[in-house]
Amino acid sequence: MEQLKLQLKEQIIDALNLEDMTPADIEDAAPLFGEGLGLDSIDALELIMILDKQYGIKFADKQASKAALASIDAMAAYVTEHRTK
Amino acid sequence: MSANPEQDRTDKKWSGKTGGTKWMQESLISMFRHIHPVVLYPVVWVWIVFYIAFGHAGRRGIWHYWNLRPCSGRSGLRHWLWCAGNLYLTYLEFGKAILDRFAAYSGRHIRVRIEGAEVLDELTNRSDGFMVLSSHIGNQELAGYSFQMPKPMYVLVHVGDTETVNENRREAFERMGLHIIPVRQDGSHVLEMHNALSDGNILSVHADRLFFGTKAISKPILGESANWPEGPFRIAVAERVPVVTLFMMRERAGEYTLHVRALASGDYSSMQRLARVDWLAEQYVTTIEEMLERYPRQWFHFYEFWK
Repeated sequence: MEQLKLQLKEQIIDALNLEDMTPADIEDAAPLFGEGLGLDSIDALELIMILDKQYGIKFADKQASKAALASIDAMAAYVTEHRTK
Repeated sequence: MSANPEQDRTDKKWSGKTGGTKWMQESLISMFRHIHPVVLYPVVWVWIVFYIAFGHAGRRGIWHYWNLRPCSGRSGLRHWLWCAGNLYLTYLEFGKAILDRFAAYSGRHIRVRIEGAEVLDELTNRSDGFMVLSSHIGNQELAGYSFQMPKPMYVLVHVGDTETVNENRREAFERMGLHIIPVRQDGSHVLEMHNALSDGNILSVHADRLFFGTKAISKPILGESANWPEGPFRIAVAERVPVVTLFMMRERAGEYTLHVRALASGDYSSMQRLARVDWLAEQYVTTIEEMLERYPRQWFHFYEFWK
């Protein structure tokens, strides 16, 4: 699980061009949106793309995507349970 | 995350409402079931004078636009008269475009000629989706009512317009097999947009109007700096899909030309992420300038567009 979290952080930093950040700067439990990492709705699209392209996860349900993208902890848990590749 | 350090959230807010009362809008729709919109043109000649006289923000915005346009060496009073005449004619063109839109709501047929049909044909033959970056020059919404897109199209809509317009917009969209994705405060529309594209459909988004709180990207148009919404360009780059623009330009009563222009193929591999967004925004603005050369009186931003 720790390896997956690190991988997700690296993918987020790469996709969102967060050049001044390292995986250590992103707390596992901190919210990714709003007061946490401060991502916006289009950044959410990038995260949805990561889960789709890298792990074969497609969301049909808005609530499920919202919960899955809440934090690195939530993303890792969702990927572990739903990944198809 | 901003795609450019100079980008900022806008403090401008576009109300996004069509003018007139509910009764007036419904009457127009009923009337156009029986008469051609051209019958009401003389009314528009007079009606727009009131809009010009009392709509200060709109008048200032269009005046600014005409002051940025090349005016063949006119100066002083001649330049003022040239701008004033073109300001009136821009309002007139808009009034006619609005009548055509209500005529479309009533089910009236609009003749459409297409320039660039081969661009649509090529994209339709591919299995992946593509994006349409639309604009507020010409009569964009009419394209949705009078031209059957080759694939299902999802249209991102800000749900701020009047009840009558939204109700008729929904009915007219459904007649043409278009699907509305309303912008939601919680950002959940993003998932619908992604699903629409990944299922191989078309996603249409306005890329020339800032709503309150949206991030902006600065690009000059007609030689002066203006703010554009960053979102549509970031979506296209994130999804790595081909991008086209559609311009539904009015030729004469009930006749339009739909200009289809390819903006991007979806392959941005040679560019950094920030550069991709910037490049795409630049392509979009250049295409709008080219279209305005051909249809200078169909610039329909009735507010101060420039910074």
